[in-house]
Amino acid sequence: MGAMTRVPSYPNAGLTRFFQLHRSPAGHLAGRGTARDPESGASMESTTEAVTTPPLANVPAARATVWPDVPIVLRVSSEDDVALADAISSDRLAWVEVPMALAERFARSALAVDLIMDDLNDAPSLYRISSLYGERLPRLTLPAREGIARAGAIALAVQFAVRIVPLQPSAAEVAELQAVLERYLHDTNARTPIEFFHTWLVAAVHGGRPSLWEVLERDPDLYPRIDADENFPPQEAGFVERHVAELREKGAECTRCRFFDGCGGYFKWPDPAYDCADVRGLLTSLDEAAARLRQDIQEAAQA
Amino acid sequence: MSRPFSVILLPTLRCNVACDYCFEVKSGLSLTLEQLPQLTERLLDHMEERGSTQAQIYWQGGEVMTIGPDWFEKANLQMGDAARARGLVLNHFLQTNLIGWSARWHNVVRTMFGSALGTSMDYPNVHRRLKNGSTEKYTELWLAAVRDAKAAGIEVGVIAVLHPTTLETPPADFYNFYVRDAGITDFQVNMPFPGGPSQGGDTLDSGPLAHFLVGLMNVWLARTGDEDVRLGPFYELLNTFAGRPSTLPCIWQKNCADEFVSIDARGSAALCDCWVTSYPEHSFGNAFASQSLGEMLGGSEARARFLARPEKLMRDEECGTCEWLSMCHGGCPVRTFADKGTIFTKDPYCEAYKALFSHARAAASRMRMRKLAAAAR
Repeated sequence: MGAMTRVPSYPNAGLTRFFQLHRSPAGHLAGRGTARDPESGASMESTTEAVTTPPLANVPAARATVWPDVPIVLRVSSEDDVALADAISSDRLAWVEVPMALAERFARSALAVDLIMDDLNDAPSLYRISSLYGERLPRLTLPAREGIARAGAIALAVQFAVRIVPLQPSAAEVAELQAVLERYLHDTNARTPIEFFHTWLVAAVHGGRPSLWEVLERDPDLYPRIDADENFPPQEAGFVERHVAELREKGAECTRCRFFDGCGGYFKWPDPAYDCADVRGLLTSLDEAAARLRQDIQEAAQA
Repeated sequence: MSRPFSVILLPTLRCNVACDYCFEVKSGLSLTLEQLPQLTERLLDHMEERGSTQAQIYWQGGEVMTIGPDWFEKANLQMGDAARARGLVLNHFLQTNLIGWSARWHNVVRTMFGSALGTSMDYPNVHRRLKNGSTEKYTELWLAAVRDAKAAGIEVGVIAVLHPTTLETPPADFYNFYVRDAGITDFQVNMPFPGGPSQGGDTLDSGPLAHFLVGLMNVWLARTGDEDVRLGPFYELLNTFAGRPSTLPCIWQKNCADEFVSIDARGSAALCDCWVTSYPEHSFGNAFASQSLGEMLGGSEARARFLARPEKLMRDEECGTCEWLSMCHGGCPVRTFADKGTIFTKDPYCEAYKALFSHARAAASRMRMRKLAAAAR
C-alpha cells in the first residue's frame, strides 16, 4: 500500500468552501509568501491563491500582532483577545477561532468564525447563537464525546456547518456519531455539511479517499497550531507521514484496513493500541451511503 | 442579503361577528389615519435598522373590514409614499372573515393586496356566528362573499380551524366543502387553542387529530392529480420531504420570535395576533410610546422569554433527540401556553405532528418511487 493519499481534487469540500464563501470579498487575496514561527522557527510557507488554503497557522491572538504578515487563523480565548482581533487587518484572517463563551462578541463581525464548543451541554444555546448571527452562521466545531448525538441534531436543525473532531471515541461515542451520520444523510432539512462525513462522502462517490488529518484540520504540516495543547498531535513537520510509517512498521491493524489510505491512522493517535472496530463500522456506513448515492446518480442519469 | 421582516397588524379590535372560540379581547378601538404615519415611520426605521429592504404586512383584526375600504385606500397611498421615499417596499396581505364583503372592496384588494385575500371558515361551522348567533347564516354569507370575490378575479385562501366536531366528520366531506362547495383551491388546516376569552377552542386530543389529519391528507393525495388544490400544511410537508423549496407554517419555524411581531390598534406589540390582546402580560411594549421598534423589541423581557424557548426545550424536553427536531423545533408557543400555562414545554400537538410528518415523508417517498418507475418505463 502506498503512502497516505492526499486527494487534491477533493479539497475539504465543506469546510474550506464554507470559509471561502463566508469571507468578505476583500478576503480573497493572493496570500503568497513564507513566514517562520518567531519562537519555534517552523516554516510557515503559503503559496496559495486564497487565505483559506493551507498551510494555515492557527495563532493565539496574543501572538498574532507580532506574527509574520501571512494569512492565519486567529485563536481568540478571552475578552482581551477580542480587542486584539479588531486590531488585525481582516485581510490576514482566514477565520477566527472563537470559544462558545465569546460567541456573542463576534455575532456582528464580518469575519468568518469557527465556533468551538468544548462542552456539549452548551448545544441548546445554538438556537440563541443562530438568532444572533442571523443568516451568516459560524462554522461549529464539536468534540465527539457523550452528547454529540443531541448536539449534532441541534446544530443541523438550526443549519450550522459542523466539524466533529473525534479523539479515539468510545463505542458509545461512535454510536452517537452514527446517529449524527444518519441525520446528516437522511434528515430532509439537513442542508449544511458535517465534517468529516461530508468530504468523505463526496469523495467516496467518485472513488476518492481524502486525508482525515486534513479534513479535520489536524495535520500539522497543513494546519500548524501554535501553542497547541495535548488534544492536538505533535506540531512537528512530517508528523502524519511518520505516524503512518510507524503504524505500518509495527504491522498495526491499519495495514489491513481498507480505510487506511484516507484515515492515515487518525484514530490510532494518541494511543496506537486503540481498537478501531467501531470506527470502521462508521466508515463502512459512509461507504455504503456513497454507493447508494452513486447508484441513484446513475439511475437518474439513465432515466 | 435582505433579512425578511413580517408584521401582523391589527388596525382595529372591533369585530362584526361573535364567534365562540375567538381568542381576541375586542374593543371599539381602531387605528386612525392620523396615527398611521407615525406607525409607518417606526416600521420603516426598523426595516433600515435590520437591513430589510422589504417587509410583509399582514392586516388582521378584530375584523379588518370594519374600518372600511376608504381607510385602506388612503392607508395604501400613505404607506406606499413613505416607503418609496426611503427605497423600501411594503407588501400587504389581508386576512378577513369576509362577512362585511361588498363590491366596494374589489379595487382595494386588487391595488393593495395583489388581488388576493385570506379568510377563515371551519367545517362543520359550529363556532363562527353572526351577532344574532346564527352559524348557518354566517356560512351562507361567507360562501356568497367567496363566490363574489372569485368572480371578481380575486384569489381566496382559507384557514380552517379544526375542532372536535370536525374530527367526527369524514375527511372527504371536509375536503369537499372547501373544494367543491366553496370552489377553494388554496386552504390550510390550523390546530385550535383555548386562548383569551375563547370557548370551544380547547386543545384537541392528539390521537383523533392525527387520525383525521392523515385521513385528510390521503383524500388530498388521491385527488390532487385531478384537482389542482394546495392544502396546507400537507402541501408544504410534501415539498419539504421531496427536497423542493418550501416554507413550513409559523408553528414549525426554528424561532418565530425571530420572524415577526404583531402590533394592534393601540400600538401594543406582541409575538403574534394570538398574543396581543389575549395575553397582555406578554406584551413587548407600545410602538407609539417607543422611539424605536428595535430598542423596544431588544429591551423586552417578554420577547427575550420567547427567544429563549427553543433553547430551554432542548435542555428540558426530549426535543433535542427527536427524529423530527429539524421539522418542528418544539412547535408553537401559544398553543403550548394556552394548554399548559407556560411556553417552556413542547407543543401539545407533538404526537399529532409526528404522525403527520411520518405520513408525509412516506407519501413523498412513494411519489418519488412512482416517478422513477415511470421514467424507467
